[in-house]
Amino acid sequence: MGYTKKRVLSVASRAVELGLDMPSGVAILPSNFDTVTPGEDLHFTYSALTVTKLLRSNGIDAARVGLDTKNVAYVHNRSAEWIVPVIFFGAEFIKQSPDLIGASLNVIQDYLKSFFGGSGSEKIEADVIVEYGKSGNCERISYKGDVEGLQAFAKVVAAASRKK
Amino acid sequence: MAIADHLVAGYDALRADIDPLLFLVRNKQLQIDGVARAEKFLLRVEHARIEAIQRQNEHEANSFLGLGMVVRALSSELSVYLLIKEDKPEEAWIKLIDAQEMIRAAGRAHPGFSNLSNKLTYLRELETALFPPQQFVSAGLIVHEQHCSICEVEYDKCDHIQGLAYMGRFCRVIFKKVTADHIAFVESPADRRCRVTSIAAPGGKRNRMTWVLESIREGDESNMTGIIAMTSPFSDEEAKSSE
Repeated sequence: MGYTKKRVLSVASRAVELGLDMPSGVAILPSNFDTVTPGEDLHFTYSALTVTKLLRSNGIDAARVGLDTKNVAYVHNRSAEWIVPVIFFGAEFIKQSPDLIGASLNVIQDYLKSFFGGSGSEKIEADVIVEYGKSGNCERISYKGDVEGLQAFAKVVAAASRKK
Repeated sequence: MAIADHLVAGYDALRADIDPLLFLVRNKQLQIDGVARAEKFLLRVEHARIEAIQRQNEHEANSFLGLGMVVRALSSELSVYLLIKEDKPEEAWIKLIDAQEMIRAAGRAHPGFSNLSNKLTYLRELETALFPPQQFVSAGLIVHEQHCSICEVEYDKCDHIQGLAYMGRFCRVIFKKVTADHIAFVESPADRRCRVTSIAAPGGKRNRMTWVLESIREGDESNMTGIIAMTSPFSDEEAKSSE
C-alpha cells in the first residue's frame, strides 16, 4: 500500500490544447490524456462510466472529459486489480465544495466493498489530479493498495488540494 | 412457513450434510450425492427467485440470488475434490475458481452474504494447497460501445451499476464493438481460468497441471517461444461481457 505524488502539467491548459471542454464538477479524465493527440481516440479506463454514474447517483456533479467527442473507447485490462479512472478536482470546484473530495472517494469505496462481496482487502489502483493555488498548478497522487486504504488516500488528496 | 423460512431451513440442512464432505479424502460416493443434493436444492432456490421477481419483491429476489450463489459455491467446491480424484485437475481448477467467484457474487447480491470473506480466503488457499503454481494470462480489450444487461440500453444511459444486483439479477456490461489489444502475463488476472496450460518440452509439450508429456497436435504451435497452449484470453464470454 502506498502513495506517490508528482507535479503534472495544467489539466485546464491540456484540455484547451486538445479542444476539450472541462466539466464544472468532478472530471473523469481519459487514461491517455497526457499523450493523446487531437482527433485520436480518448481511452478511458473501463470503470470510467461506472464511477461517473456512481458519483451522480450520490448527488455529486461528475462527467467524463471529451464526452462530446465521438472518439471515445474503453480499455479493459483484465487484471484482478480494480482500476479507478483518473479523477480531476479543479481548484474552483474544491473551493466551492471542499468536502466533495472525501465524499467522492467514499462513494467509490462503498461501491467497491459491495462489488467485492463485502471484502475491503481487494487490490485497487487510483489516480487523482488536484488543481491548487491560483495558477493552475496540478499534482497527481497515485494509490496502490486495498479498498480500505481509500479513506486514508482521500485525506492525502484533500491535503494536496489545500496547498497554496 | 414462508418460502424464505423454508429455504433457510433447507439450506441449514444442506450445510449440515455437505460441510463434513468438504475434504479431499472423504468418500467419493458421498460427495457425488452431496453435489446432487446441492443441485436439487438450487432448483428450489431458483424457483423462489423467479417467483420473487414476479412479485416484484427486490429484497427477496436478491436474497435468493445470493443464496443460489452460495449453494453453487458448495457444489463447485465438492466438485473440486471429486475431479481431483478422477484425475481431472484442469477441470477441478475451473471449479475452484467458480466457487471463489460465486462466494464473491453472493456478497454482491445481498448484504446478508457479505460475511463470507473467511470462506473466500480458504478457497484461495486451496489454489496453492492442491495445485501447482500457475502462469496467468490477461487480455487487453478496447471496447467502443457498452450496454447494460438489465435494460439493454447503452451503459451510460441507464442508472444500473455494474456488478450490483437489481430485482434478482446482476447488472453486467455487455461489450459491443470490441477489438483485442494485447495479452500479457500477469500475477493477478481478472479471470484465473486464463492460464498457460502447457509448455514446450523435448518430445512434445509438458502439461503444466499434470506434468505429463503430451504429443503436439497440428495447430498447437504458438508464436510465443516455449508456450504451446493457453486457455484463450479472448474467449467469447470474456470478450462479450464484464462483471
